[in-house]
Amino acid sequence: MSKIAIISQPNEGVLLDVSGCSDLKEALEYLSSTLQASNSFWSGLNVSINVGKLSLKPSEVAQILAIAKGVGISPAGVYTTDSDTISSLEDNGVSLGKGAPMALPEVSLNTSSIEAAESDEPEEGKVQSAVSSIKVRVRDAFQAKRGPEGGQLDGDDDDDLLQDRLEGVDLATEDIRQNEKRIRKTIVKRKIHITGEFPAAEAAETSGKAMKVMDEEEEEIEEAEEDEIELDTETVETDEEEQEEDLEDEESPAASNTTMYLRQTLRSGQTISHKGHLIIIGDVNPGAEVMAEGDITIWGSLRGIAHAGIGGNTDAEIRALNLQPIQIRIAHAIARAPDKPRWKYKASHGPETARLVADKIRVFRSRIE
Amino acid sequence: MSGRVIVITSGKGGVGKTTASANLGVAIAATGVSVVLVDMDIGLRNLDILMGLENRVVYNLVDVIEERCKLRQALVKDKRHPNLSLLPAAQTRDKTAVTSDQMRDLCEELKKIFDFVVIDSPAGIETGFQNAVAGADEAIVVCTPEMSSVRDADRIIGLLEARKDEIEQYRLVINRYRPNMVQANDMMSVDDVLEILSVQLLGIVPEDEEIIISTNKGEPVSGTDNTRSGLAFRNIARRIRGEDVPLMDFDAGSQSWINRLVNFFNPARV
Repeated sequence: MSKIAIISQPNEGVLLDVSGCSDLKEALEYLSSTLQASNSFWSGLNVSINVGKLSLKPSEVAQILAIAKGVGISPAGVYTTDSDTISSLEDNGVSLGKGAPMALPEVSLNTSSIEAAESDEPEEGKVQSAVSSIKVRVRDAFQAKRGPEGGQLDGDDDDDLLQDRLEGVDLATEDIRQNEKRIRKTIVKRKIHITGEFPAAEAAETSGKAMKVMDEEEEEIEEAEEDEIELDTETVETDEEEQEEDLEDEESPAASNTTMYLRQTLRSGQTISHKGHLIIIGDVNPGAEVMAEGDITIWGSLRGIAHAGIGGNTDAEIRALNLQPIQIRIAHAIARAPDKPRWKYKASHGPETARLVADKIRVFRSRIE
Repeated sequence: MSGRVIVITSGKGGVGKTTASANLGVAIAATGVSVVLVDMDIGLRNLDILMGLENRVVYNLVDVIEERCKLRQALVKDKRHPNLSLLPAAQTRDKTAVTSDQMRDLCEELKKIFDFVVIDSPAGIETGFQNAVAGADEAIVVCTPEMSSVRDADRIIGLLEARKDEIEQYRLVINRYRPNMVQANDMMSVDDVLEILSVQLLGIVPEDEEIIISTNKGEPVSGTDNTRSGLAFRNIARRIRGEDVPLMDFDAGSQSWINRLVNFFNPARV
């Protein structure tokens, strides 16, 4: 039972159903966040509210009504199964909903169709060879970067890093030995995704199981040769538990069907580059760089440098909850932040999106198209 | 019970790592435990000058590692505080003289003898820094409320995060804080710094002319009673030992009327 449901039917208007909430505080939270996300959408609609078995005092009903009024909703009726709430509604002059409240449509899934889809996924052999190709490339890159003392890098490695970037594998971290363990777990996550165990929560739970599978197959992986499937996604110093990546198939080079999803903050000096869309749950601190061929979405503050559409894709967008970048780049265009006190880092204008409009980067307050 | 090894690092140079190491060493030793200060800035050693012990240095860290002397021979006992010792760096070598593994072994040895090992890291992110953090269990990141310092501290914190299995915790000290400038909006506030760095705050040390005097005299401020910065370092030392000490009051308006009168005539003081 979800906490808030928005059910709409033609000729019946829209029902906001918060009967899944356990108390008034939850209901208010969900109502306010949902309604205020798109406040121009609601005016003019025939809206009702279902509070289920929540028992509300007159003042509490007034709070709900205030939130609705704030986005221009005057509820046509409120549905409730609690007698105290009924009298509170009367005190506030709100009419009871007529008839029964709308319910979510019944959905029956055909599980046989899911099984059929699984067999369309790439075969095990391709996954394993992709896995081995990542390991081989990591090992090669590590050998290339290992200085005479072993494991130490200095500034001469810029050329190596650039070359790797051109080949599509940008090992942005400088101590690769520490990343091998992390990369193994990344490979495991990829395997999970192939067999269709999305979403993120399930993948995290099954990672323990998959690690055992990984160990068993390690001998086979060691011997598998490099295959056509190249992995063009990058790794970075990450929190091991929270990284998921898609496998990019060589046969379908369209960048937009792979998305990297990262749940961590990027600190100064860290770089991410991905051939696809990029979602980061966290901040991008000044001194960090984010590059993607598709869109860049940052659920947090963008204070570093972001470059979307690096393949020349002028439709790419960069969006963040708090857009305060050092520079924004989309395809070939560059824009910098306006000159003002640079260290006021607290959120200013709310969520914003940057797009390329007539060859110039413009920033829009985020809204639903 | 083996000792705690704390490395004091920052990334950016000149923010106050060596000053913080000296003062924290003195302040922690004053709480009754044995402390050794290790200067890892090989080739540009400063910690002995700040402690006033530069005349008493015979052997140094590189001599110990290359086994030309015993560890006890290299340790210099502080002249004022009986349970504080200093392991100086070499002045004539450079950072490539030691490796991370050698530092790890040295820290293991020191942990057995002392309750606290405070390592003063050099600036930067290369070999010097890597050697300094090699043997450490905890880290203190020092930064000043300036854009460049905060960005470098962010980099360092990223590198410390990558060593999660070695460095158990890292906390921030904001040094050279000027409450007047913060109130006039000319300097980053504590919140601005923490907004980017997102680490636990260990303490704030105000800008103080006494620090310059103490460096030249070779007497760290936390050993004497009458300075704001000394009090700040002593509070930080107590927090390191686990006490919960509230932050000093930096509100410029809370000064007594005499102080405000003095500041009016002599605005150089903070």
